[in-house]
Formats: sequence, structure tokens, C-alpha cells
Amino acid sequence: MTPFEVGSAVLLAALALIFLRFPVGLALGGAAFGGALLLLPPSAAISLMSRVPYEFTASWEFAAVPLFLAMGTIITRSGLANGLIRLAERGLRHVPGGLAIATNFAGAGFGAASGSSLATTVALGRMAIPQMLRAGYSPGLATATTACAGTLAALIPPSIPLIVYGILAEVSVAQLFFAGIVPGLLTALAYGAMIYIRCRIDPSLAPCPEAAETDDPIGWSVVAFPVIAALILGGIYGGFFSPSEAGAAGALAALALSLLQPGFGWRDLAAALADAVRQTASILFVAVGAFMLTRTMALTGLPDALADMMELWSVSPFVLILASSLLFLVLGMVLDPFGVMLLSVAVLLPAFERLGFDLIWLGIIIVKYIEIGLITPPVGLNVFAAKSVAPPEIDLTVIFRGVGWFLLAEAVVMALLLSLPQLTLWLPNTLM
Amino acid sequence: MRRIGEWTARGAQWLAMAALAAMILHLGFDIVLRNFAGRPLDGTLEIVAELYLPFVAFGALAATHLRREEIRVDLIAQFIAPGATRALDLIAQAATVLCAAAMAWLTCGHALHDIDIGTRIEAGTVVIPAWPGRVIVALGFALLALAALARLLQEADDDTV
Repeated sequence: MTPFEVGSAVLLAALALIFLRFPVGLALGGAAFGGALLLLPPSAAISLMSRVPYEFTASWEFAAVPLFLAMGTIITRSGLANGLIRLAERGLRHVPGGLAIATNFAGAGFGAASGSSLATTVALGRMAIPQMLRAGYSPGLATATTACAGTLAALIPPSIPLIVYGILAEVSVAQLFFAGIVPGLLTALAYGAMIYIRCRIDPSLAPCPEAAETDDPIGWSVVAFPVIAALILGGIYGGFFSPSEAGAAGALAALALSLLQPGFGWRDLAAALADAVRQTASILFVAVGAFMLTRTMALTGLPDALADMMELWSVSPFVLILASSLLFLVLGMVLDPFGVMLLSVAVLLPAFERLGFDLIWLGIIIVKYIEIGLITPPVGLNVFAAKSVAPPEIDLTVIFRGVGWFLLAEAVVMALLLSLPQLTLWLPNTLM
Repeated sequence: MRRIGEWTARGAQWLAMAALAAMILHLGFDIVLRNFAGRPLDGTLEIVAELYLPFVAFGALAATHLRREEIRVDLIAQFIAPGATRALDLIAQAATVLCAAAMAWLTCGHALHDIDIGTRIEAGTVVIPAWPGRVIVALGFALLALAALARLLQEADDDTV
């Protein structure tokens, strides 16, 4: 077999194992190991692959992942998010679709402090779905809003997918953080506008609540998110700490604020740390498998061959990004978000680099597709997360139907981001 | 087997949690000392990367698997018979046992080699032994193999009932 054929076989084997319900990390790592054994003498292949887990983990950049996850789990366990959600609901209650719009913007705020899409969806859903349903909102709108608001965490910093992309693509995580702000806010605005227009046209979707359901006191915790977000971004921008260290600063700030919350104690802290280390292990297992795949792909020369092919065929950057968009969308429908990102970084990055794409912009585009993959059937993880906190009588198809409208808003945002890269790059280029 | 798997996984998860708490505090002190006293803690970057991170990442690997929190794609389950899904799960579980055991064996070799030659990492005035980080990687894979074996036996048991 030629190295190119080995590379193609490894990719197909990885995808087949993933579809056969193997853990994604095992599927990627196993296929990569097999490929390395075909290309190298066994002792060299074993030596190369068995060093990956330690070498990948023991890197300073990776520290950001568990640190930001710890910050998010502390915030989730302590209920620091609740004040912000209540404030948004109170402010927007009498706007058409106000509770859904409030949930959407609360999702953007919560994403800024948690970094995890699933955590954001679950935390928002527990509070917002019952409230919207009580107010007479359509179940599809209430649940889909929660599922889609959760995806905003993938872009708005600190974002775990952006950190992992930064490590693998070897680009600045700080620049990625700043680059994610405008697309994240744009998405939140597009979602909000879409909800407003739909509810304006069809008021039965979201009747204005008559009773003052949310008028219990909001409390000081409403300032927790702005304080933590300002600390993280201000600290990075001001040069007080690196993006990895920002995770520690954010976790300590979240802990200090959580200790002021009534009812938050050592048990909650231990549970938050346990959640964070298990989420870290779960991400790490996939990332190590993908890193092994990247090494095997480099041995096969497949990514460079693809890049050469693009040059030979004089593929224009526009055609490449359009074809890749289709690929990301299809993969995003059937693979988990990290699988899509890690596979694409392993295989496609050299081609993008050779054609002169800005890797910061590309990272945002890839994460945007991941965000869309989180809400598209059949593997829409955020939709499953929303379903897990919704009343059991709401069917999965109702949520997916509701999500369709958000996908329309996503199409508009994607068209803007693809045609105007400056929208994404303006902030990082100005600040850094 | 299930109980042994659970106890060891829980113990390793506590190690990971302790390492995460220590990492947060260590970095917090370093940020404060560096920015307000002009005296950073020596070797922070190396201690975080070589010691804390392997414990945080690999300590909870087995617990994640036992709680079925590993990332996998369930697409095919909707289209095939439940019996076939169970069979696929058993095969995937057996493969996890074998791969994790193989990785435990291989990474254990690296750890023993590091202990033998006394590999150290020098960071300014601080010298860190390299072996604890290597050992936890091997231990993490070994406990993952044990957890996957416990899950395999339990799922096989459920299958025969």
C-alpha cells in the first residue's frame, strides 16, 4: 500500500469504528496506531504512538481546558447563573417572545463564564424551560431556544473548543478568544431577532405573561458574570496573565463569589471539581486519539497531498471553503463536535494554510460549524441536553422542528462571517 | 470486579480533583506574586505541565468510563436491532479493555525507564522528578482497562439475563 492509500484507509477505519459505537478517542487512536504499524517498523510505530498521551497532556496550553471547565462547573453548581437569567427575563418580559430572547442572551452571558455548551444548555433549561412553558410558550420554541442558546458558549470566550483548536493548530488562544466575541454576539443577535420576528408574526407562539412570576429579589449574583468575564478578558488583554492562567483566575473568582452564595459548601465544591476532572478526561481521550491521527496523517503525507492537489487544480479559496463547509456540515450531523474539529485539523489544515487562509478566522469558522453540528439531527448533542431537562411529553422531533428556525438565522450569520473575514479578525487585530 | 473497578476509579478521581485544586491555587499564587510582588513562583509552568496536568487528565479516565461519560456516537443504534447494538457494545468494550491494557503496558515501560535513569526536569532553581507524571498516565490506562473489563462483564451478564 502507498502511504496515500494507508492514509485514506486510516480515515475510513476511524469513521467506521466511530459509527460502530466505539468510543471516539479509541476509534481515532486505534486507527492511527494501525496506520503507523503499516508505515513504520513495529518498534518505531509503538515508540511513536505510546509517547503521545504524556506528550500531549503535559503541555502548558492544555492547562486552560481543566481550569475553565472547573470555573464553569463551580458556577453551575453554585447557581451563580440564576440572577442573570432572572434579570434578563424581567427586562424583556413584555417584548414579543421576551422570555425566549432573555434565555438566548442569558445563554451568551452564561457561555462567557462556563465555556461549555452542554453545561450552558442544562443550566439554562432547568430554569427557563418550565418558566416559558408556564407562560404558555410553544414547547418547540421554549426547548429549541434553550438548545441553541447553549451553543453560544462554543464561541464566546472562554471557549473549550477554541482552546483545543489553538493547541492543535498552534495559533494564539488569546487571539482566538478575542476573535470569537463578535461572531458570538452576532449569533446571539440573529437568534434574538429571529425569535422577535416569529413571535411578532404569530403571537400565539409566546403570549406575554400576565402574572409577575419573576419578581422575587434578584440579588448581587447578577454582577458575577460581568465581573468574571471582565477579569478574564481584561487580565489577558492587560498582560496580567496568559489564557491558560486566566482559567485559574476565573476559577478562583468563581469560587470566591460562589462561597458568598447561600447553601454553597465543600460538598458542592468537591462535586464541581469531580465534574471538571471527568469532563477533562472525556475531552482528553478524544484529543489524544486525534493527536495520534495527526501524527499518522503526517507520516502518510495525505494532508500535504491534498494541499498539492488543491494547488494543482488551482482550487480557489472560495471553492475550498464552500466544499469544506459542506463537509463540516455533513460530518457535524453525524459526528460529535470534537471529532469533527480534530479530524478536520488533522487532515485539512495544511491545505488551508497553503492557500493563505488566516488560521484564526478558520478556527472561528470551524467552531461555528461545530456549533451548528450541536443542533442538527441526528447527533445534535445540545438538543439531547435540552430534551433531558424538558418535560418528558415533549418529543425530540418537536425540539428539532423548533431548531430549524435557528438554523435559518445561523445561515445568515455564516454567510456574513464567510464573506467578511474582517468581522472576525477586526477585534483581535486591533487589540493584539 | 465491578466494586474493585469503582473503588479504584473513585480513588484516582480524588487524586485528579486534588491535583486540579492544587493547580488552581498554585497558579493563583503565581499570578498574585508576579503582578504585585514582582516575584513569580519558580518552575510554575513546568510543575503545571509535567505534574498537575497528567494527574488531572488521567486520574478521572476510569471514572468517566464507568459513568458512561466517554464521547461516542449513537447514530447507528436507531437503525439496527437492539441485539446487534448490544453485540456492538460488547465488542467496543472488549476493544477498550485490550487497547487500554496495551497502552498501560507501553506507558508503564516509559515510566519504569524514567525511574531507572532518574529523569528530572530543571526549571530555574526547581528540579522536578519526571516519573510521577509518567506513572499516573500508565495507572490511568490500567484503571481504564479495569473499568472497561468491569463494564464488559456487567453488560455480558445483563445480556444473558
